[in-house]
Amino acid sequence: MSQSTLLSLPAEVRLNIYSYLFADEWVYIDPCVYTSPSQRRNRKQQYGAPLMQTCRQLRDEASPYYFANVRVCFDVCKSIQPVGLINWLDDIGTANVKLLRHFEMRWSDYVDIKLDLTRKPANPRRNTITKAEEDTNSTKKTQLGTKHVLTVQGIPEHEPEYWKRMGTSEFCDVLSKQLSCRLERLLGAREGLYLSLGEVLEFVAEADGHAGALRWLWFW
Amino acid sequence: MASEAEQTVKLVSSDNVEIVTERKVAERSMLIKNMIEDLGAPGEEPIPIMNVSEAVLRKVLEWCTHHKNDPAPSQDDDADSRKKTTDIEDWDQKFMQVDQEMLFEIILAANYMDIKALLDVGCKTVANMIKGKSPEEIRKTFNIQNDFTPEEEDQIRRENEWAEDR
Repeated sequence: MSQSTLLSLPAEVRLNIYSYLFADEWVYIDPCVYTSPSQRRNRKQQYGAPLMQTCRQLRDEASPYYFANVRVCFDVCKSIQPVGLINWLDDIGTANVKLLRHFEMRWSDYVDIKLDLTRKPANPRRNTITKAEEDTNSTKKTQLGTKHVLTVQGIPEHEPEYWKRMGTSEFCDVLSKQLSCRLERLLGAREGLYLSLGEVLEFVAEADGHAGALRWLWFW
Repeated sequence: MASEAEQTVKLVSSDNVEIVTERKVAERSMLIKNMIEDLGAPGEEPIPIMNVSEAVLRKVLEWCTHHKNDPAPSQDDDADSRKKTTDIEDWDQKFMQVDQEMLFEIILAANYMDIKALLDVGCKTVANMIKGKSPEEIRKTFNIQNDFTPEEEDQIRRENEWAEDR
């Protein structure tokens, strides 16, 4: 009898393995704003999905699972083009971009904007978790769309006192509603559950624009 | 007739060894449970487990014995809705400390015998073996040949140029 190996398992079993492997997967996209390429290369880098760099079979098979599960985290500084994100999206290619479901954008070290593309409304168990989290972060505002869940909250590094002074809670409320409304229109007009490369970048630019305008309005 | 709790069933491994076990233990396997229901007379007819050797079948039954009183998974507990975690309870972790050949045989047996909870423990164990390793370490662990062309290697390098992970 030939020896069983990872590659000789039935594909559906490997898919089950991927679902566990990628459940908590995240990748941080270097903003490429402060760091020159030479400096970046000097930094010790670990790769998003080492499994996909082992051989062709695993790469082809695991890629869709990886991209559908990975949380894409990145920083956006007010009015600065997110070069790192643009490059990364370009490099993974339009087909893989359409598989992405989870985005986490930190805007100007002030708020975190989290977007999940999902058809299901959050289930009851998830709601309980959201409720518990809201107790610790009073600025957290979540909008449930038919195909998305959008959350905006003050970054955890700040104290509640700071948020109160800045009106962060109201800021999150208005911003989350604006962005969610836009996503609802965009995603509602199509069958699939995806954002194209251009739409991801448009969303990021719009979030940046709205957030910048809101801050300007309130804290001139 | 013995009550259901005391009933035993005869299983026959692929290498033709007969193993007698509690019905309750054997019925952790949906394959066996359905066969018993179809056959109607548990204990009399030996049940062939075609694809599983004696050594692996005994190991699988060891797991089933330990977990024979586990509650059945609830209906809403489907794979997509619950949070996936690679946490494995202590007993299962020790149980899975076997060589790779046996680990994959257990996974194949759990898949064939339709024992979802055991299959999940096996898949989590493999996922944990992959986590935190470099591509080269993964290749070494699972004896995988690198078959990328230079062009593909280049594409991989570019994808990772902008990204960093924990």
